[in-house]
Amino acid sequence: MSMQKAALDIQNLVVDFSTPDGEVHAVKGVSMTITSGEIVAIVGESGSGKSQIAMSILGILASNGQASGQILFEDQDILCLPRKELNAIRGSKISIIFQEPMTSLDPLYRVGEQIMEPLRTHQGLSKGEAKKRALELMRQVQIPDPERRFKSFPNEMSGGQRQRIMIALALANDPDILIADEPTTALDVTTQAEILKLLAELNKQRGMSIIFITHDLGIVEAFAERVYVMQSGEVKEFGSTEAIFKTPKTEYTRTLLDAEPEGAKPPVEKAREIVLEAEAMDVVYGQAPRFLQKDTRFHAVKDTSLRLHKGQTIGLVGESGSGKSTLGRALLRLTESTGKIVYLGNNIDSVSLKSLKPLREELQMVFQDPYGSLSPRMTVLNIVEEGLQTHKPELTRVERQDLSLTTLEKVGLDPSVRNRFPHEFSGGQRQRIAIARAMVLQPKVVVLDEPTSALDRTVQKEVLELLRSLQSEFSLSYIFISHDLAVIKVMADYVMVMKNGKIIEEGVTQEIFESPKQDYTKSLITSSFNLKELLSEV
Amino acid sequence: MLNYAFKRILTIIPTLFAIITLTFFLMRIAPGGPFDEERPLAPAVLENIQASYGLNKPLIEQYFIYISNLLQGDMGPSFVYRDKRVHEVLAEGLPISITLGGTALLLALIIGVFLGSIAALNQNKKTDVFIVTFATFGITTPNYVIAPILTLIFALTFSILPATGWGSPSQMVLPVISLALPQIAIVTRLMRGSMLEALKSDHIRTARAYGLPMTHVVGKHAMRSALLPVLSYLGPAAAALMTGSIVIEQIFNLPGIGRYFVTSALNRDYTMVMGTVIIVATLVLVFNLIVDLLYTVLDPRVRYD
Repeated sequence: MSMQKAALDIQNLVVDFSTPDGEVHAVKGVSMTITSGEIVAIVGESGSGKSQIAMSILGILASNGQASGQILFEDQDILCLPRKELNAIRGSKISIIFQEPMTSLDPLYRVGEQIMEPLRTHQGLSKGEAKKRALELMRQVQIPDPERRFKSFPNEMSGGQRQRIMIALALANDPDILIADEPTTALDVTTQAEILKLLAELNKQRGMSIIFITHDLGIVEAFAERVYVMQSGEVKEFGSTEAIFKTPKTEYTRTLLDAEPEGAKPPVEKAREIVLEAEAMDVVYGQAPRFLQKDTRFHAVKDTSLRLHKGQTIGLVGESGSGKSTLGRALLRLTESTGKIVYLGNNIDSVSLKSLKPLREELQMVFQDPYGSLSPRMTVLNIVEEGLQTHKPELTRVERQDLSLTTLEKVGLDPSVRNRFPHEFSGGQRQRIAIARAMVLQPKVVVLDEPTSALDRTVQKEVLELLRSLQSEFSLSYIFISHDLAVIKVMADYVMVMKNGKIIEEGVTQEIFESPKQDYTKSLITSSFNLKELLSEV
Repeated sequence: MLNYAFKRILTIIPTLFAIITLTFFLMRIAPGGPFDEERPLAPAVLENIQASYGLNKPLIEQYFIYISNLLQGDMGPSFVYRDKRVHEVLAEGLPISITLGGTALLLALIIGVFLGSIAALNQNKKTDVFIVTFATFGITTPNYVIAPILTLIFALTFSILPATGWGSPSQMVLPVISLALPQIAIVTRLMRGSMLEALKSDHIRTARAYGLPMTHVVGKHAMRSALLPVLSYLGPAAAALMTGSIVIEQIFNLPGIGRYFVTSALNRDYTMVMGTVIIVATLVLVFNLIVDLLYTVLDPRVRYD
């Protein structure tokens, strides 16, 4: 492998961004070589500069960015090429697939048309020829019924299908190098496995090099031959995947490897008090059809029952669109539902929202996106104390603030940050603020909706630890919603698997993971934990 | 889509009817009448005049007479322009106002979209600063300032263009420019903003990453999404422009309908007010419908079913 000629040779790449706050050095003198036909992974946490390397290769840095150094491809320095010559390379010899297939495709044009564009630009194909080739490509990336799908718009497809279209687009001109920038991060685990399998096949069949950029070490271990580990703009360590995973040389790589979620939660006794109970819950979106009208209602949750004991964590797993978030919201009556919900002996499904208010402080929620769910114009202290103002009006201002500051400390934030605004914090810290906001009211039940999905693994580990310690300190009951089985496995003592709005399997965590009964559960588990075996079949 | 268009056209009718009814009665509640003058008319004379126009009948009866005439295409007699029916007066001026306004709108759309795109593509460079300065000037300077200045330069000093009147194409130039300039400025600013937004979007990055030529990236992909906010502005703007402008009509001595909007209300020329309201309301409703329909053409995510 090392004897082969380098397909791409990056020498001392520096990427700087000029911002109002001064120069930001995103990439600080990175060198790497990619030989033809190999799969190289670049791993690192968000902000490590890994994506900026990809952007530099294709000349698509943001307008305030500047790349220097050398990127040699076919004996030319890509960084010095005029736009016309660069255009002849990108999309033709070097291609890319992005993380977000929804926003990365033009929403205003049909997907078929979008696949035709690079074909017509680079190969000068006629409309008819380009269409024929586009259909071929769509077949190759396993889009069902390509003739019909050719005319679809991106918003009419699922995430996985959109990413397949993106791959078809990237493969259109048979590139030598394919850059994949977190191509499966936005996808469900089973879809992720399929896409990775497809990429591995293409690598084998076409001898195309793949530069795989990711933060997910599980994928790297299963998929890549060599790895570059990046931290704050520098390559910390590189080598064969095996060497990196078995004998990491740097402290940082070791932390990354250790950041996989650990531990397990023993099941609670059956006799424990039931705090929240739901029976035959249904959530339907949309209005009942009028006479002769088509029924366009969407049945998000179907006939679901659940029992949450004190101190228990129920893990709710399933793919996007399976109804798990809707169920979480409906349990707290944030979404209208039918069926019975009982909280500590109180029937809360039929009472008015107003009379529900006193109970709200005991039923809290933490959302996935800590940026979107914190008001950007309120200080941290205001955010945390707001709930107290509503639910504990008898507290004086000083008492309220004291309580808020203690809570901030409890979630691992220095109380001196109280006057800062959410945008001044990192993702992990923001999620801590969101947790503090819920915990300050001393709730009994907390619904955690993908609380760590937007976080890097190392940060995720800290937040999971925090949630654990809060749970044991206050004997909290959690409904933990996640698509990430690795997290559910260590956090929940009881698991419910959702598909198309229905609970298809449930049981004690260990049983579910060790002997799943449903095929769907099995495929979820294989895609999450046995990626390597799955890809070795290729 | 056709189904939707048909439905929308059907809803225009009751909307117009409601507007007509409301205006009819509101107008009568307002104090004063069409024949109030500084020196009051003798009561007998006033009664005679009112009787001849049917104003002495009960209000509700007048309303039904008006509606039934309207359905036959008659907007009634003007109380101020004697011997003329309102629809005759408006029919004379409307084509002129529509020609003027339509040309100005087209000009604003073409030039504004072009300048806005150029500014966005050269963000924070000299070209951008120049265009933004021009746009700010265009928005802040009222047309009663621009129009006389243009007349002074092109008609009086250099005598290239006529200062007033209507009939020849050369007489259109100055009024159209005066009318279009603020609109060009507004469209330029809108377009610059939405183009900047579009250029930053992920799918433009994709188009660039796939080596598509710049003309394609901007002209096909960025342009289409950038046009959407401009389109929303154009609906109401078209209605406003095509109903004329009293200022421009006065300065260039043009026989459009813009003046009636002001004079008829001041004179309590009931029927004329009704006529102008019907025209504005119809134009607003029609242009909004056109914009909504165009939206489905430009943006496939918008569906009306």
